[in-house]
Amino acid sequence: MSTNDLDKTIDKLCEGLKPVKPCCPTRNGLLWILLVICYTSAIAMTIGFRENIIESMNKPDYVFELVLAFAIAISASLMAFRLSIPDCEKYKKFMAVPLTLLGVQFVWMLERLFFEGMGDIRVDWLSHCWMNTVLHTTIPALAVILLVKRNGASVMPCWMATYALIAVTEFGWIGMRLICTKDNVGEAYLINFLPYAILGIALGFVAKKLFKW
Amino acid sequence: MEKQQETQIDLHWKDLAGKAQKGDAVAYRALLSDLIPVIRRTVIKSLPNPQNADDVVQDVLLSVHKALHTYDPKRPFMPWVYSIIQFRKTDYLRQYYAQHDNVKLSLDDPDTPDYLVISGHNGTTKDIEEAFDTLPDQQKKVVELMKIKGYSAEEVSKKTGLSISAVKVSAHRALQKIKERL
Repeated sequence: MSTNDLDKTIDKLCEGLKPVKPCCPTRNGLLWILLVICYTSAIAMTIGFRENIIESMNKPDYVFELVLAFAIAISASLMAFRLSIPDCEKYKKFMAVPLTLLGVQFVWMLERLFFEGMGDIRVDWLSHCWMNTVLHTTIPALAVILLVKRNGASVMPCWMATYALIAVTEFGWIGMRLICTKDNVGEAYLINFLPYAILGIALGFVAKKLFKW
Repeated sequence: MEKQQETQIDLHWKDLAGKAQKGDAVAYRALLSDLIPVIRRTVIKSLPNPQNADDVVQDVLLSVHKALHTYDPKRPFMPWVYSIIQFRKTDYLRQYYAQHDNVKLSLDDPDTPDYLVISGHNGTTKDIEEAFDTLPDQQKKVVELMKIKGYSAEEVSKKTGLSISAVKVSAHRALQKIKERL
């Protein structure tokens, strides 16, 4: 590699220059959040809301769980999109927000597990819970990958993938809570979060390749 | 003063990058040409082979081109470009060390370092040995135990029957003598 080669590279890059529109990660993030909220609501309406939804909305625990999951989902989505551009240094200080909220959720789950136990788990959990989970999350997951790959160039691909996974997980989990009547820890947390844990491990191996640019 | 200069350069590049985003090839060429020495200077110190710096420079230029749409013209230019430089440098180093981890060196290869091929002593170690031989027996024994075999002053003291402070003084004087002879 010589200075001449670098000059040739610059020549090529200048020849191929086309006007580009500066992307805004926050706008993309908000767009994705809006899309996922609409999609999750549509799926919940198609499958049918849980029978006791009105009764559940009056339970502070149920509402707290939903609000907490929603806060994690929103903060993780914004973080994922902000990490999708190279100049993400100024956002690094917010990286702790979704993780802290996730910690609160984990402590909440442990507390419920301690006081209530696992509860009953249905025999057909695989066909019921996991299939609905797939339905809730496939489109949002594909949308986030597409948006980030098309509009982003991340210098922190693994962290970005982690936050995207958290966001998809929490939105999917909210969707499940809207349609599934089982609120016990065994189903609501362990069975419903398990597919995401598996997906997370798989994503850990491919994140760098998936978001290579 | 220096900071002011830096800000001016940043403003200039910011302007060029903004024009490049609108498709101005002249501004883009000026920007990329300006960046070459900056990238080279940033990466050269941490590369195992400084002669490969231009490979990383080329990678960074291509990355700047691919990520041009992610630059926000309202933000400073340097943090954006430095993030890309650091990212590509880390990528390069990761690949470099991954490739060199399992490299087998042939002893017949002219590039193989001498210290792996020459079984005897080269000039430097021979000089040290000669200097070591000139030491009195007691100092020689102390240096051998402490500096070659790695015993502590206390252990050497037990082995030689000298006091700990005498061992330390003896080792110090011996090394001074070797240093003078070299």
